Parts: sequence; structure tokens; C-alpha cells
Amino acid sequence: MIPILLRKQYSAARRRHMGPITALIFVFLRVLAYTFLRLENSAWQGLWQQYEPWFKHLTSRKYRTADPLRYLLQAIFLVFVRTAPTEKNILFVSFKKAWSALLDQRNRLNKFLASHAKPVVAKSPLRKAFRNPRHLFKAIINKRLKIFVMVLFGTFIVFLMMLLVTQPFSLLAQFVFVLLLWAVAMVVRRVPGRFSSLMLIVLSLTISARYIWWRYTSTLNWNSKMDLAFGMILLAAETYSWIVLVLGYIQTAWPLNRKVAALPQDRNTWPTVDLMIPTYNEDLNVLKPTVYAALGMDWPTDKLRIHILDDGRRESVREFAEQAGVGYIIRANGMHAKAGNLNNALKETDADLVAIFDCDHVPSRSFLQLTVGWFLRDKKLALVQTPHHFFSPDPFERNLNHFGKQPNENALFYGLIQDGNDLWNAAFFCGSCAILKRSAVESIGGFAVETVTEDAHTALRLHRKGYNSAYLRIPMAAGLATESLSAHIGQRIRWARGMAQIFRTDNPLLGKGLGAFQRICYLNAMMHFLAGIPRIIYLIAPLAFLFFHSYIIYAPAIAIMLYVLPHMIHASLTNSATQGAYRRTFWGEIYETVLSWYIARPTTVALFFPNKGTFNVTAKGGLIEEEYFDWKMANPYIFLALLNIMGLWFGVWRLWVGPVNEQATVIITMLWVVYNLIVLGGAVGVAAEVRQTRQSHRITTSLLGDIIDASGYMYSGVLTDYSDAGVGMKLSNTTALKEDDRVELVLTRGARQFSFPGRISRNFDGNIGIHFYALSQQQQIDFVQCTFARADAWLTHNRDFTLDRPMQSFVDVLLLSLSGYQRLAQYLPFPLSWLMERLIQAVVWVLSFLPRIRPIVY
Amino acid sequence: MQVTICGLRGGVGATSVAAMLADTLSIMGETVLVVDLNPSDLLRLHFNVPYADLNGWAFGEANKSGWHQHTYKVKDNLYVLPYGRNGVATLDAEQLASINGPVLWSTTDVVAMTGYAWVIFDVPHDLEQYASLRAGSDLDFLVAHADMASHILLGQYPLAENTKVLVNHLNIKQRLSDAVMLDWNIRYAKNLAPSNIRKDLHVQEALAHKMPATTYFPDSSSKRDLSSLATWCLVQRGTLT
Repeated sequence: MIPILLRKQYSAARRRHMGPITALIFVFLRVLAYTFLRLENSAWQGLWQQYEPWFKHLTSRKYRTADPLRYLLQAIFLVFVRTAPTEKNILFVSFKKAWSALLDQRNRLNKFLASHAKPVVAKSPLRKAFRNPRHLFKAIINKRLKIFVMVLFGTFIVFLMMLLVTQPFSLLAQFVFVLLLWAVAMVVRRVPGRFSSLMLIVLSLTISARYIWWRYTSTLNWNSKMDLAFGMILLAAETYSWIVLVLGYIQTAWPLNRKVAALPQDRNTWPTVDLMIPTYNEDLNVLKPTVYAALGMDWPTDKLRIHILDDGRRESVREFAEQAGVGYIIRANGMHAKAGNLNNALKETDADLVAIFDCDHVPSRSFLQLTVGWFLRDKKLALVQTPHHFFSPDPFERNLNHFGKQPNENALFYGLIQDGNDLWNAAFFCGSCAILKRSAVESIGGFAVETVTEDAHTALRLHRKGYNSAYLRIPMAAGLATESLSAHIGQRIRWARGMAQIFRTDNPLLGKGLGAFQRICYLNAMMHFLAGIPRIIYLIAPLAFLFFHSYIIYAPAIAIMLYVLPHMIHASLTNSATQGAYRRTFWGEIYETVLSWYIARPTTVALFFPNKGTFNVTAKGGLIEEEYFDWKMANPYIFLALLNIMGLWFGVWRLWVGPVNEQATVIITMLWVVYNLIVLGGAVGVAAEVRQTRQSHRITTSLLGDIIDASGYMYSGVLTDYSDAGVGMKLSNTTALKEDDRVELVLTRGARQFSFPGRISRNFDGNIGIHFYALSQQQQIDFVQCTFARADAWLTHNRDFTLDRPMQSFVDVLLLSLSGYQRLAQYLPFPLSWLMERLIQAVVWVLSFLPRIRPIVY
Repeated sequence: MQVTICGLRGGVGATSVAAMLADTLSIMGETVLVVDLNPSDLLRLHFNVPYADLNGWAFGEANKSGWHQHTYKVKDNLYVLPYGRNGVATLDAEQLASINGPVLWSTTDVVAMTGYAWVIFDVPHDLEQYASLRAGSDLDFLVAHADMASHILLGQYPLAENTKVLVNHLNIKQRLSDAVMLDWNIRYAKNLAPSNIRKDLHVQEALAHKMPATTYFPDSSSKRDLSSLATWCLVQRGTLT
């Protein structure tokens, strides 16, 4: 009996990966303990039950060599260090009570605000005007207030604001002031509705204006030339950021959320449409789905003409166009790239409206029916733009692995900024997924050809000419995202250069025809691309203090904290409230940092020499066959990171040997450096390219579908994903289906059903994969129309997004940054990578001895 | 709700549809009585009621025991009233003459009498005397195939306001049926049932097991088709539970 028990114990110990000797000792100790301590009685068992959660991190994994020490350390921590929340410690208990009561109160307040504050906005007398915000000011001025009252009121407000911003405070007064504003912000941000975001914007503007005023008036050291030079550079960068912040608030304060305008019943009044698909060198497989989807668009057949504008003049494309029965337009030369291509096509076509889709943007069937209504309602309307949606992950999403989990880089622009622009009648043309009025485009001499971003420039000219634009935030087309980081950066360089060109050649601040807010919207769009140099300044500014002992912010550490932190916190809170659904807090820093180095030069060059620069086509639809680290792209960031690490060493050294009265400043500066390192780590992580081997991107979905097996049995299931080569399905019973069986997939489109022949490529756990088998062209068309081109295909893309929580987001960015450095270490050349790996292992090993300060409970 | 289901011609599967619709409605929690008016008496087999039992409404009417007595309870909320072909075969000529289905069913308000939420009649396609029963129904399905024969027959068929053409055995792979459906969608827009039943071998096999496919093959597409048809029926009543 006893030998069996011992053997059982021994093998259990062995199963936890103990060595034979360790296992023997373990069993021996266990027997010893049971002999003398009666571990089976309830007191011991209760003790173990109470304290087991504290040891879970050790018990739930395999045994490792130094585990006895870890158990010991954890036990020592539990016995000696941890102050148990017993009644003896009255202070602790009362504090905890008070804290939870406070949290309770806050929750109740939030609930109260959420339940009661909303109707106040709804009942506001301005509500009616807000509903049609284009006429907001007109309504206020005409109906409610005389102009001079407005002016009087405005002057008074501006005067008060000036007072508030310029009034110097003592440190204590400033402390109380920022604390009060912060408290207000914390309460207000939970209130639903636009009132709260406007309130947050006002608070943030106040704090930030005070900050920038303080920076200009009291933080420059005029006595030292070096301090002044470095300080001015930083201040210039901060001024830029401040202007962008303010302009951004104006731009996004009130997103229009334009609704669809219904078309008239009488189809004869519907305008004719030329649907143009410009292409240059993209693969035919990229072009095909777009054309097939366009063929299925819901519009009277005699009023819709589809044209492929092939600047590559390829025979294969011409043949394809003929087969598919769509127009094929080419021109003699390739002047002015895409804009020239479109202009040439304008000459050869004559429909009232021109819809433009890049050849990789598959339109959904509803596009025309949802967009054209606005042209009939607003005779001065020249453009309806819709979002660019991508069904493949962009380099950020792929390399940082957050595709489908949180908004991507361009979600902010298409989710919020364009919608905000629309309020001020300044929605831009984005080159694709848009529909324009031919007469308007012709009246400005066709698409603008002077810059490399013909789209924004065309929109600017339309606005100057007095035309309106509209933005409809419904994703009605989807395409491929750029395939690699270098391609992505290349695309952004082009945009940045183009925007800088427009800024120089056709400055939106000057010239006729634009309203003040239109100018602001255009200005901000262009300013946004100038972010490169200021960002680099932020990344190296603290080093000026750590290396050269230069006081770039000439103020006591405590004052810096009291001005900088509120400024940053309020900006983050406000941005989280207004744009959290479209961009996570802190993620913008990473996006901007990655681009900064590369757009710094082209934008600067374009600002001084606007006519330089060529058009480059963004490569799409490619594969990344092997994981690699894009050293070329990452080099600047590694260099900056090394600089910052050196700065950190200098900081430590200065803490050690420097004067005591400087220590606070040194610590603050080091924190700044650490923040820079975090952001740079994220940027470095993006450069580690993750493999992308699928030629066809699988799009996850949830559609009803059926399959018919070879003998005629039909099974119902759910389509879980699709690509142009096959689909994945979930069936509740797949036992009758075998791999390589021939089946027919049945999909529904409206009242019609279509079948597609295929073979079962995998059958696992109720999920089957179907590979298409010899689809005819008509079947390919039907398939695209049953899947990619569905009206609701892209509506639920943000279904799995979680809410933005700034602190959580910061933790995410921190982890991302760490993994960025880790991946960098992996790809270092041999001795270095080995060394780094060991180093990381050593750090992890040392950390593993730290006792857990919280029990693990599930 | 009274529902009549009648084939446009023989062999279009009206009886299977009646069995599956009754079964689906009962799965959705409705109490259902399904009545077979066909002398061929096939419906009982869908619910495993053997011919050896002589019971059936016609038999009951003839021997004056009343049709109520001949109802089979298949599930807690699903009742089947067969024709009683083998029972009828035992009768003499005088008794036979007393069977008059059309008069019986069009003058009896079965729903009010029995309290079932749904009474479904499987009406023979070749007995025009049932026209008034069908006209008095809340829903009247005319089961057809999407093929040329049905197309021609349907063209000559007097479609009443409450009649919905229900396409059965729809073959997705055939271009002809797709074309016929496109035509019917325009031609019979108001008289076309919103969903159709696709061709699925599960239905035939289920009869071999003497069960409706909706219960015997819950993963089949016919189950999905009948579910959407039954849901539409519930919506027609005005309450969706």
C-alpha cells in the first residue's frame, strides 16, 4: 500500500518536470511533513486554501530549479512584508472604506449624469440649428441674436479668456487651479453627448493656452545663448503642436454625421454615372473583383457605364475588359499620372456624375444609391466622399498584431476628421471611393495635375469655385492596405510632399473663395504632415539638458510639472473623449514617430521647392514570404533610441555626481527620455515584418450559406470567412463530408441564390474549408457580388473594438514597446542577438524571484 | 390561423411541405393540427402513423364516430389527423357516400372548435371542391416547382388574393429555375411566397425514416428553409413569439 502511494507521489513529481533526485527529496520531505505535522487536518488545509492563490504562479507551471527559493521568498513576503488588512490597522481600513465609498459615489454620479444630463442637450434651444449645422451660425445670427450682441458677447468672452490665460499664478494657485479643472474634466467626461466633449475642449484649451503663454513668458533663459537656442527650438516645436491641437479641436468639435439622402421614386430623374477604375501596373487579379462588383451595382443599366482606365496599356487588361463588357480607355502618354488618366477619361465620356474607384477598392452594390441622392438635393454639390476601408491589415496592424481589435491608423481621418470637415463644408476628395459632378470638375479644368496629391488639390479648387462637398461615413468599398512598412511610408511621403506642395503653390489661407473654417480645415490637413521635424525635436530635446546641461525649459521642476502635466493630461482626456473610438490614446504617438523621420525631409524640400518630386504608385497585393526586420526603415529609430539610452546613462551619472538642487529636474528629464524610449520601441517593433503568405486575404464574416454534397444532400451553415479563392464555413455536423469531396456552395443575394463548385480542403471540428474549382467568369462575378459587394459587407468591421481607456492604452503601448525591443534583439547579428537574448533571460530570471504582491484568483 | 397547402399538380411535394411546416411551427412552440385531405393518406407516414391503424377523419365521418376521435398526438403540441384510407376501404357503399370532405371542412371552424393555434390542411390538387376551404384560409400555399410545366400551369391558374405560390425543390444549380424565378418574381410578385424550399435529398430520406426532415435532419438546409417560412407565417399572424 505505502510503496504504491510513494510511487504515485514520485511520478506526480516527475510529471512536473522534477529531476529524479529532486523528486526523491520532494517525496521524502512530503512524507516527513505528513509524519510530524498532520497536514491532512482542517487547520492546515484551511491555511493552504487561504494562501494557495499567492503561490499559483509557481504551482500552476512546471517545476524549475530555483523554485524552493521562490516559495521561500513568497512565504517571507507573506509573513513579514505584507500588511494584512486586519482590523488592527485602523488607518488602512478606514482609508480603504473611504476610497471605496468615494468610488461608489463617483459611479452614482456618473450614472446620474448619464441618465439626467442627456435631455438637457436634447432640449437646448440651439438643437434645431445644430441639426442642420451648416446653417448653424446663420440660424443663430438671423433668428436669435443680433450681430452686435454676438460681438459684444464675444469680446467679453475673449477678454475673460485672455485674463484667464495670462494671469500669472503662484505655484499653489496654479496647483489649485489645475486640480479644479482636472476634477471638472473627470466628472464631465462621463457625460454622454456632445456637450461634454465641448466642455472638455474648452477646459483643455484653457489649460493649454495657459501653458503656452507660460512657456513664452517665463521659461526662456535669455542669459545663456545655448539655453536660448535649444529652448527656442523646442518652443517652436511646441507651438506647432499647440496650433495643431487647437485647429484639431475646431475641426473635430462637431462631426456632422451626414445621413443618406433618398433618391426620388422616378428613376428617369436619376443621373447617369461613369464609373472609372484607374489602373497602372496592378495585377489583373486585383482589378477583377473591383470590375465584377461594379457590374453588380444597383443602378439602372442604361445609366451606368463602367470604364477601366489603363495607364499600363496592357493587352491582358483590354481582353478582360472586352470579356466583362466594360469600357477600356487608354491614352497616348502617361502625363500627370492618375490625374492625367482621369482627365483623359473625362474627355471620352459624358455622364452627369463620375464615380472613381482605385482598382483595388471593391465597391459595394449600394454605393450609388446611397451617395447620388445628395447631388439631387444640393445643386452646388460637387463631391461625395466615402471612407476607404481595408480588408487586409496594414503594416501597423500586421506587425503589431491588432487587426480587427482596435481602430487602425486611418480610422481617425475617415471616422472623425472628414466628418468634422463636413460640418464646415470642407470634406476632402481622397482619390477613390468618391463620386463627383462632371460639370463641376470640368469647370475647374479637370483634376488638378500640379501636385502629387491630385485629390486634395482638386477638392480645394472645387471649394474655391464655390462648390460644396459631402462626406458619408458609411464604408461602401474595401481594398488592400499597403503591404509593407516601406510601401506604407512611401505612400505617406507622397501625401506629405503633395500637401506641402499645395501649401506652397495654392495656399488655402490665401486666395479667394474659401470660408474661414474651410481654410482652417485645409490648413490643419497640411500642418498635420509637417509633424516630422517637431516630433524629432521632442525625441532629442531632453538630451540637450542631459548631455549639454542646457536649460531648455528654464523653470523649477515643480513648475514644469504643474504646467506640463495638466496640459498633457487634458489633451489626452479630451482626445480620448472625442476621438477614442477612432484612435487609441498614445497610439498616435507611434504612428507619428514612425513617419516623422521620413516625412521630415520631403516636406521641408517641398515647402522650399514645390515643383520637385514625382508620383509613385503604392504597391499592393504582394506577399512577404519570410519574416524579416526592415533595418533600413528602423535605423533612424534605433539611432534615436541609442541616443536616448545614452541620455539615460548621463542622467544616472548626473544624479550620482551632480548638485542636489538639480536632481528633480534630472529625474523629470529622465522620465521624458523614458517616454521617448517607449514610443521609439513601438516604432522599432513595426519594422519587424511579420510573414504574409496568403495570396488572397481572408475576410472574416458571418453570413448564412449552404452546401450541397455530391449526392444532393444540402446542409445549412454559416460562412465564416471568404476570399476570392475559397471560403470557410461552420456547419453543425460535418461527419458526412470528407476532404477533397466535391461540393457546391450556395449563397444568397437578394431573392436570388447562386451555387459555386468547389472541393473541401479541410474539415476540422465543424469548420470546413472550401476551395473553388473552375469557376466560370459569370460565377466569379456572382461570387464577388454575393460577398465583397454586399451592401452590409463592411458595416460591422468595428464590432470587436473595445472602448478606449487611456491608462489601458498606455499599458498596451508599453508592452508593445518592450516587445519591439525584444524583436530588435532577435534580429541583431549573431553575437549581439545571443547576448541580448541571454540578457533578457537573465532579467526575466531575476524578476521571477520577486514575490507576487497580489493573489491570483480566477 | 388556418393554412391550406395545395400542389399545383401532383408530385410537387405538398404533403412533405405540410408535414415540415407543421413540425417547424410546433418546434417554435405553437400548437398545431395538420389534416390530410388526400385519399392517398400519405401524410400519416411522415409522422410514423402506420396504415394498419384504420383511423382517419373520413373513416370517422363515415362510421359516425366523429373526426375528433381520430386525431393522433405526435408531440405535446403537434396533432395529426390522417385521412384513414385503410379504414375507408372497410366501409360499404352507403357509408362511403356520407363522406363529404369539402362540405365538412369548409363549414367547420376547426380553429375555434379545437383551440389549436394553427390548423394546416394538406389539400389534394385535383379536387376543386376544396376551393371554398382554401378561399377561407388565412394563408393558402400553392406548391409548385420552378420548371416549365409549372410555369405553364401557373399561367392558367386563377390565383386568389390570399394564395401564395411556394416554390419547392428549387434547384440552385439550374439556370432554368433561376430564370423562372426571376420571371415569377416580376409576374407573380404579390402572390409569391417570400422564401422557397430548395431541393434537398434530406427530405426524401427523412420520409424513409418516417419523420419530417425538420426534426430528423436538424442541420439540413430544408430545416433552414422551413424555419424561415414558418417565421414568415408567424409574422403574418401578427405575433412573433
